[in-house]
Amino acid sequence: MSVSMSAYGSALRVTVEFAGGIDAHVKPECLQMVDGAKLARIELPRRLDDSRAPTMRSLIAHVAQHCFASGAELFSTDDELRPGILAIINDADWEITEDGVDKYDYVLQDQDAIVFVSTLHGG
Amino acid sequence: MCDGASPSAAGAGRRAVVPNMCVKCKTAPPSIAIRRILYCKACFVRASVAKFRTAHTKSLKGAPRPRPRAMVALSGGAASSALLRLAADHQAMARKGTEAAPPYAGITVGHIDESALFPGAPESEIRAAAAASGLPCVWAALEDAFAPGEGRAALLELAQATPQAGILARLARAPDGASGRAQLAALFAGLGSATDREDMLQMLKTALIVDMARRSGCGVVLVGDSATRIAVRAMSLTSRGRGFSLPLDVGAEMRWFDGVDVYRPMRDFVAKEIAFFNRWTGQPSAAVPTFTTGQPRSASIDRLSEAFIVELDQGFASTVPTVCRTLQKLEPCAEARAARPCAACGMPADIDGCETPADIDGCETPADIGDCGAPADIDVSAALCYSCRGLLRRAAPGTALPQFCLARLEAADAGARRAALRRQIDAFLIGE
Repeated sequence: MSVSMSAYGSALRVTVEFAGGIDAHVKPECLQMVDGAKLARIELPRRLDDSRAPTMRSLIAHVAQHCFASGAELFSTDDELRPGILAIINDADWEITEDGVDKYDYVLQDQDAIVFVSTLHGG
Repeated sequence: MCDGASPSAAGAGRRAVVPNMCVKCKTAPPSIAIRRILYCKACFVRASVAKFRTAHTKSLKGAPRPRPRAMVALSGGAASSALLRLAADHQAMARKGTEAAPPYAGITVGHIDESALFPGAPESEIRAAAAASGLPCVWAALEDAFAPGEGRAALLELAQATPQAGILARLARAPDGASGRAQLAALFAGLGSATDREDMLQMLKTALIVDMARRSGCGVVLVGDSATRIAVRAMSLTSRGRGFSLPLDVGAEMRWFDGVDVYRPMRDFVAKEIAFFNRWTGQPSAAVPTFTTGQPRSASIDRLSEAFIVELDQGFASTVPTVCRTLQKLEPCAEARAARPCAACGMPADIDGCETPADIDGCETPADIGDCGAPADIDVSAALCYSCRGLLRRAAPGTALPQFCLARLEAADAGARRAALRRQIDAFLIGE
């Protein structure tokens, strides 16, 4: 996903925390330690190339492309999270959705706090 | 596109996701879905504590009285960290008079330092978390498995392993000046695959934690095996030929080691519940590296089993509970209960399918030891379980096994054979 702020006006800003060992594969320059948490601040255009608002699916693809030097396949496959990695949106389980709504289609809001935590043995 | 952020920048308002409320309090919006059942944060934490106490209390029914001390086996990972908090909380609440008696006479935290194999292991974080619990802590390091026993420096060294000649080993002295870490590194370098290395690591940790429990006067060891981990281990152990001891390896209570019972009170928690519990209770945990950290799914049987279970569970959310419910029906057979411990892993050794020394031409047996002056090769096949025989066959000749292997081999022999082996071990007095 290419991101150009000038083409889309103000950016959508979300914070992404990596935990449970998946943080070991994230580029160090993307991370900042805050109170023991490894956080990255991600800026996305408010409208994507297809004029739709960014969703969790687009965030995952963006993170895999821009925040991982190698080992992105340990985080996601295409634009879906690898099984065993949980996502938490604003301190709530991202799997709480209405019936028939895909959790990947959650439309990101400005200042959302997303956590990706690996539950896999050894991270 | 990625740069650091301050926590104050995080945290937008709650998502309006579902019309339903928490299944428990019915007043708060849900924060977590466990197999489609919705809980708010407070009710989830409360339900987790209750679930732990129920499982723990069931295990305690068979515990001896007066209640022994217990050791929480803390690896530092998410599950054992949650276990530490829940077990300490259970003990403390009982003390406050909310229950008839505390579960144990006391709780000790036991940890195995793995930094000799994994220099990046977060030891300082783990020790800080253990110290924060306020409980007494004891430590051992993986290299302690090579510490001389009873003033003798003898180790069991693999000599040759072939289908024809069985698994031959000999008594050897550790190389002069070789540290425990160097011997540990040599052991793992001599193993054939990541699966074998993971297997050996588990053997070392089990032996060390049980030994540490005995030394600390603990009659119970609490381990943090979650339902997810138990389901994965069941697949992995079966694939590695450890089906004979599987009921003990995955059961709620393992009464196998002399004087030390092992309980698995986290057996009803899936990995997701543990991750949320730790997050919402502020329980720190660390990512403990393994041999296959960052490796593809095919790196080891354990890794592949995990990928299989976790991927299946994603599509079918009851996979892990279904596997675990099935496993709960397993009981160790009478042969397993009466079997001798394997000289390597310490679990029941199925000797029915084992080559006996008498079947092997030209091989010295423990009975022959001591008849001649020079150390003779010993066929250790009969003292090993099926899986460990395969593991040691694949190991490189010259690989020295941990000290406890020799101690178990000696304990497995009886009468004249044992005396002969003892005489040979006595020739390895330290300082000679």
